[in-house]
Amino acid sequence: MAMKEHGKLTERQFAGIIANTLLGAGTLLLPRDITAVAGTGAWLSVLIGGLISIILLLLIINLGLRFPEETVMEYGERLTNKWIGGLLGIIFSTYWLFITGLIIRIFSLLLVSSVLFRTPLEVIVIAMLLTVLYLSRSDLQIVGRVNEIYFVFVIVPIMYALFLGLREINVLRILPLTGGQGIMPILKGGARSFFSFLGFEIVGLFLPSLTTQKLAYNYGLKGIITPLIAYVITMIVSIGVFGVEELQTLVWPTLELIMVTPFPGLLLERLESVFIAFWVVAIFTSAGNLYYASVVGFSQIFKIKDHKTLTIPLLPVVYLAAVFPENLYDVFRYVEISIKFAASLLISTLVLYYGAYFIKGRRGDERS
Amino acid sequence: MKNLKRFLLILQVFTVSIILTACWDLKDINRRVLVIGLGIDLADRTETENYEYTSMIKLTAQVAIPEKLSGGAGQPLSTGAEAVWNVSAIGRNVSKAYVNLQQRLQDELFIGHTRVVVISEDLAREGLSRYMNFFRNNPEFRRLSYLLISENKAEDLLNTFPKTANVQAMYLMNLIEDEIQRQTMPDIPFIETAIRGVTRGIDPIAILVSNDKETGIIKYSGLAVFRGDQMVGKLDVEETWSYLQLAEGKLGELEVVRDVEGELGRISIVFKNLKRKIRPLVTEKGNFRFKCKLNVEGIIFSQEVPTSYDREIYIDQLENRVSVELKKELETVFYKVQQKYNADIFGFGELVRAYLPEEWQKIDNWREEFKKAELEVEVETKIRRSGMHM
Repeated sequence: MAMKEHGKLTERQFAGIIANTLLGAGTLLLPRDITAVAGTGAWLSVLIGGLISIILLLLIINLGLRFPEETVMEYGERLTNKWIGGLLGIIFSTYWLFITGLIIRIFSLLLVSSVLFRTPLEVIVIAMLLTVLYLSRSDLQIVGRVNEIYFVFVIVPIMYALFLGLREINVLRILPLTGGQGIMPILKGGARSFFSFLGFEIVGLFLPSLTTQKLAYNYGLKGIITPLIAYVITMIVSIGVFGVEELQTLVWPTLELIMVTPFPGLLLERLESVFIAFWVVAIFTSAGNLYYASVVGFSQIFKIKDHKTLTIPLLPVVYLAAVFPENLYDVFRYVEISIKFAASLLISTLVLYYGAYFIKGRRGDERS
Repeated sequence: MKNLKRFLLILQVFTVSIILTACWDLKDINRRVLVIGLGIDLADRTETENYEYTSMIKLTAQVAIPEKLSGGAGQPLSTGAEAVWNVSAIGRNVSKAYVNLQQRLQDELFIGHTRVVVISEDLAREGLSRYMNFFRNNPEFRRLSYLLISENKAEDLLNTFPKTANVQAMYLMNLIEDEIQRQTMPDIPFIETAIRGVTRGIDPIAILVSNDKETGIIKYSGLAVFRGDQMVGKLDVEETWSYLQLAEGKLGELEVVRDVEGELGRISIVFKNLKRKIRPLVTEKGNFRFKCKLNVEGIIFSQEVPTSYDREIYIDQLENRVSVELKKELETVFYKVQQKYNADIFGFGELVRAYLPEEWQKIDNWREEFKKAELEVEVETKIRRSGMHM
C-alpha cells in the first residue's frame, strides 16, 4: 500500500501531526469543563490527564515499533484475528469520523454564536467539511507538510493570547493551587480533560512511514507536550482572570478570555475575530487529520488500494455526526460520552494487543 | 471527454460560488448605528395593560453621529449635544426595549463600541443581573466597558454635556480611566462586576456618579455597594479611597492630619507608594480575623502653619499621626460596610478561600461569617519629602 512507504513522513511532521490534532476544539471548552469538578486545582487535572495521555501515546509507539512495517490496522489483525482486529479497526475509524463531526460542530457553533450570526450552521459545517475533504484526498506527504507549516499558525496565536492574558490574572483567584478539596476532584478533572487530548491514537497509522523510527518517542513526546503546556497555561490564565465560579457561566470560556484581554496599542482593540480566524486553522488541522486517519483506517481494513476512493463516501457520515446533536447542551453531552468511550476503547485495545503480543510471542514477527 | 471536463470545470466554478457565501453577514459600516453609551432606567408604566411584569424599563442609547465628529473643511467640530444623539425606548426588559429602540432607528444598532452603561440607582437597588444578562449573552458587547450607577436618572446623565466634552460617553470613559490611573477609583470593568456577582467570596461594587444638568457637571461620587445582586448602599469618595487602600492596596488620595507643632493648622499628605499585605486567620472563638499590614510612603503636599520638619522628632510624630488617622479610616469603612451593608466588597471571602481552603469548605453562608469577622490594621508611614518648600 502506497501510504506506508518508509520515509514519507519526517519526524517533525510527525510531531506536528500530533500537536495539531490535539489543539482544536478541546481548547475552547477546557476551562469550564474541568473547573466544574476540580476547582482551582484544574491545572493539575490537565497535567494528570496529559501524563496519562503521554503514557498511552508511548505505549502505542512502543507497540507500533515492534511492527515497523505495519500500521495498527494491519498488525492488529495479525495479533488477534481477522475478525477482532478488523472490528476494532472499524470501531476506531468510526469513532474518528464521529469526533471529526463533533469538532466541526463545536467550532461551527462558536462561529454562529459569536461572529456569523446570520449564516446557517449547516453552511459552515459544509464549508469546513469541504476543506477537510480536500486535505484528506492528498498523500501522506502533503498531510505531513500541511501539519508542519500550519503548526506555527496554530500555536503562536494561542500562546500570544495567553501570554497577554497572564497580565490580567488576579493571583487570589488561582489560589489554592491544589483546589483545596482533596485529590479526588483533581483526578476526576483529569479524566475530563481527556477530550482535549483525544486524537493522538492516530499515530498508530503513521509510524511505519517515519523516516527514522527510533526518533518516534522523542518527537512523539514533543508533539504531545506542546499542547499540554498550552492547556496548562490556558487553565491558569482563565481561572486567574475569571475565577472558578464565573467560568461555569461561560459557554466559550477561552473566547471570552480573549474578549477581556486588552491588546497593547489601540490600533486593533478587539482581536476576537482575528483569533477566531486562526482557530479555523487549528480546527481544520484537527478535523483534517482525524478524517484522514479514519479514511486510511477504513481503506486498510477493507484492503482498498487507494484511500481516495473512500474520502467522498464517508463525508456524509461526518456531516450527519456534525448535525446530529440537537442543541448546544446535546453537543456537550456527546463530548462527555466520547471521552468515556475513547478512554475505555483505547485502554482495552492496548491491553488486548499487548496481551496478544506477549502470549503469541514473536511468532507474529517470524511470519513477516 | 475533453468537453465533459470543461463542462465539469465550469460547473465547479458555479457550485463554488454558491457554496462560498462569504457575505452572509455583511453589514456595511455606514448602515450601522454606533452606540457609544447606554442608559437603563426604571420607567413609569405608561400603558394600562396588565402585564405580569410590574416594572418597565427605559433604555437610552447614545448614538455617535460620524459626520458631526469628523468635521468638514473649515467647519468647527461639533461638540456636546450636537455630536451625539440620545434615543430612548421603553420595554418590559432590556431585550424588549432594545428591539423597540431598533424600531425607532432605520439602521442596525451596533453595541460593540459601547464604552459606558449607565444604570439608575433605583434599578440597581432592584437587582442587577436580570438586566445585565442581555449584555453577557451578546457577543458584540465589550466586556471591558464600564458600568456606572447614576444617582439620578440614567437618561439625565447621558443628557448632561460638560463644556469640555467632545463626545459625552467618551468624556465619561476618560473620567473613569483618569481616576483609575491616579488610583483613586477601583478598576471595575463590566466583566469584573459580573464575576463578583457570581463569586461567593466577594460582593460587587460599581462606580457611582451624579450629575447636574444645568451646569453640565458630572461628578464621581463614590461607590455603589452591592450585596450579591442588589445595591444596598453607597460609599462616598473619601470612603472609597480607604476602600482602595484596604481592599486593593492602591493609593487613594490626600490624607489630612493636624500639624505637630501648631496644633491649629493642618497638613496634607499625598501618598506615593503603598504596600499592603493581608492574611486571614482563625481566632480561638472560631471567627475570622484579617491581619492587614500597610506600608505607606507619603510626601507633604501642603501645610497651613510653617513648621519645619527637619527635626527628627517632628517627622516621627507626623508619621505616627498619619498612621493613626489611616488606621482609623480603614476601620471605619470596614465596620460600616460590614455592619450596615453586610456585603463583603473587600473580597475577604476570597482570601479565606485562597489561604484557608479547609475552613472555606466548612462555610455555607459566607456573609454570616463575614459579619462576625474582625479586622486588625497595622500601618507604618514614612514621610519622604515635601514639595518645593521646606
